[in-house]
Amino acid sequence: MSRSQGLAVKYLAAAVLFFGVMTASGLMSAVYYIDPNFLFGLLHFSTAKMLHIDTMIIWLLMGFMGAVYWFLPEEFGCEPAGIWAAELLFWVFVAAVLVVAAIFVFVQWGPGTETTLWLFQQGRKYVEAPRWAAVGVALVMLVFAWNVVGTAVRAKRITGIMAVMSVNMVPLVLLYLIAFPKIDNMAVDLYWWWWLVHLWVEATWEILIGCIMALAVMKLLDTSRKIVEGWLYIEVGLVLGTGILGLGHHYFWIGTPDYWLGIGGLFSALEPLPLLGMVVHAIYDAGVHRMKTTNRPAFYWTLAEAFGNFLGGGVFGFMITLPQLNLFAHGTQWTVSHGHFAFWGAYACGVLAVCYIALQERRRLAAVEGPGWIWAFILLNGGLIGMVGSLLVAGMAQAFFERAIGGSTLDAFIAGQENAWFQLGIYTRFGFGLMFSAGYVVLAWNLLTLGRRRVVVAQPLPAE
Amino acid sequence: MTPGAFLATSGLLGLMVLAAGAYGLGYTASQLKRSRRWALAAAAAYAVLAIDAAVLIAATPLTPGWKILVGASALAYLGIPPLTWRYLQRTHDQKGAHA
Repeated sequence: MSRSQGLAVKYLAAAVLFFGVMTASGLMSAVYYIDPNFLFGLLHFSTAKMLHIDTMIIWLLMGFMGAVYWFLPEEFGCEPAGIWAAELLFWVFVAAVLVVAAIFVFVQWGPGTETTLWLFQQGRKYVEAPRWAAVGVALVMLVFAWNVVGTAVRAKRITGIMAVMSVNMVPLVLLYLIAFPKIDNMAVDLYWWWWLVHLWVEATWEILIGCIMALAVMKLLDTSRKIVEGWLYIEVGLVLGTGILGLGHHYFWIGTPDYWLGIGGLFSALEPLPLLGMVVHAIYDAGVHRMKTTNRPAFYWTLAEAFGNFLGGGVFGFMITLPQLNLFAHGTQWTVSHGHFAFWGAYACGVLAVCYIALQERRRLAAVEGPGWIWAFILLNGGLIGMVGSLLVAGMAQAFFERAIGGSTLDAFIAGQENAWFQLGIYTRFGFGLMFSAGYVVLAWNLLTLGRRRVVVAQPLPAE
Repeated sequence: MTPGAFLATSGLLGLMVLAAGAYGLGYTASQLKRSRRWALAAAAAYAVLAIDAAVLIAATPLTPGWKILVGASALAYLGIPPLTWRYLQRTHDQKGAHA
C-alpha cells in the first residue's frame, strides 16, 4: 500500500469517527426539541447544533480527501506531490477539529470582539470555527490542491477525471476564503455566505463527489474510463448549468433584489432533471451487472447515493423551491428535512461506498460479505428516511399553522410549536434518530472488524 | 395563496418529481427486462405525472411563469429516460462496458 493510501485510510477512519460525533450531537439536538431543559446550564442547544452541522462538514470533507488520496496513486502511477505535507497536515487537521470542538463545548461564546472571532468562534452558521481554525482548513485545502495538481504535473499526464478534479481545486480553495471576512450588513454578509454554503458545498463538492464516484464505479463495476468520463462531463455541465444559479433560491428573503426570485426559482426547478438521468444510469448498472459484485456494500451505497440524491435533492427540494411556496416553508423543519436527505444522498452514501472499497483492498478481501453491512445499511437508511419523513410532517405543520394561517407572529410561532402534528414529527424524529444511531454503531463495528475475524472451518471427523 | 392551496401545491410539486422517478425506474426496468409489465408501470407513472402537472397548471395559484415551467418540466421528464437509455446503450456498445 502506498503512502497516499495509508493517508487515505487515516482520513477515512477520521471521517467515520467524526460521523459518530455528528450523529451523537444530532441526537442530542433532537432531545432538546422534546425537553428544552435538557442539559440546562451545561450545554446549550445551539452548541449541540453547531457540533452537529460543523462535524457534518468535516466528516464529509475528510471522507472526500480520503477517497482522493486513495485513488490518486492509481490514477497517476506515483505518490502525490507533497505527500509529506499532507501527512503532517492530517494530524494538524484532526487536532484542530478536536480543539475547536472542545472550545465549542467548554467556552461556547465570548464578547463581540476580534479576539472572540480569532480564538473562540465566528458565529456564522457552518463556519463557526474561529479564524485560527479557518486558516488551518484553508491551508489543508491548499495542500490538498497541491497534492492533486502537483502530482499531475509530476506525472506529466492527466486523465479526464483528474483534469476535472484539478480545475475544481481552484473554486474549492478560493470559495472557502469567504469564511473569513466580518461584514456588518447582514444582507451583504448572507449574500456572500451563501457562496460559501451553496457554491462551495453544493457545487464544488458536487463535482468532487462526481469525480470520486466515477473512480469508484470504474473500480467497482470495471466500467470503461471513457464511459464514466463521458458521464462526468455531462454531470459537470449540468451542475454548472443549473447548480450555480440555483444559488438564487437562497436569496429569496435576505434583502436581495426581486430578480433573484425568478432566477433562483427557475434554475432550482431545473436541478431535479439531471438527477433523473442519474437514477436511470444507476438502474442500468444494477440491471446489467445483475447486482453481482465482489463488494456489495460499496455497490449498494453507490445505488443509495443515486436514489438518495434524487429523493432528497429532487423531490424534497422541488416541493419548496418555487418562491411562492418557499415564502411559507423556508427556515422551517421542512427545509431541515430536505437538507438532511439531500446531504445524505449526495455525499454521505458516496463516502461510505469508498470506505468499503478501500477496506476491501487494504484487507485483501476477495469479497465483502456478512450480515453486518446489511444491518448498518438498513438501520442507517431506514433511520434517515424516518427522520426526514418526521421532519417533513413537523415542517409542513409549521409552515401551515405558523406561517400560512398565523402570519408568522410570535403567537403563531408558539401555536405552531405546540401543534400536535409538529410534536408528532419531533418525537418520531427522535425515535428514528435512535435507529440511525444504532446503524452508525453497527457500521463502525462492521468497518472495524470486517475480514479480521478468524474464519472457523469445520474439520472432518477422523475415520474410525 | 390560501393555506390549503399552499400545502396542496407543494404536495403536487413533490409528487410530480416522485412520479418522474417512478417513470424513470419503470422505463429502465422495462428496457432491461424487456417486460411489458414494467412498460405499463412506467406508462402509469408518467400518466400520474401528466395529470399532476395538469392539476398544477389548471387549479393552483402558481403564477403563469411557474405554470409554464411545470409544463415544460413535465415534457422534459418524458424524454430524459429514453435519451439516457439510448446514450448508455450507445456508449456501452461502442466502447465496451469494461475497461
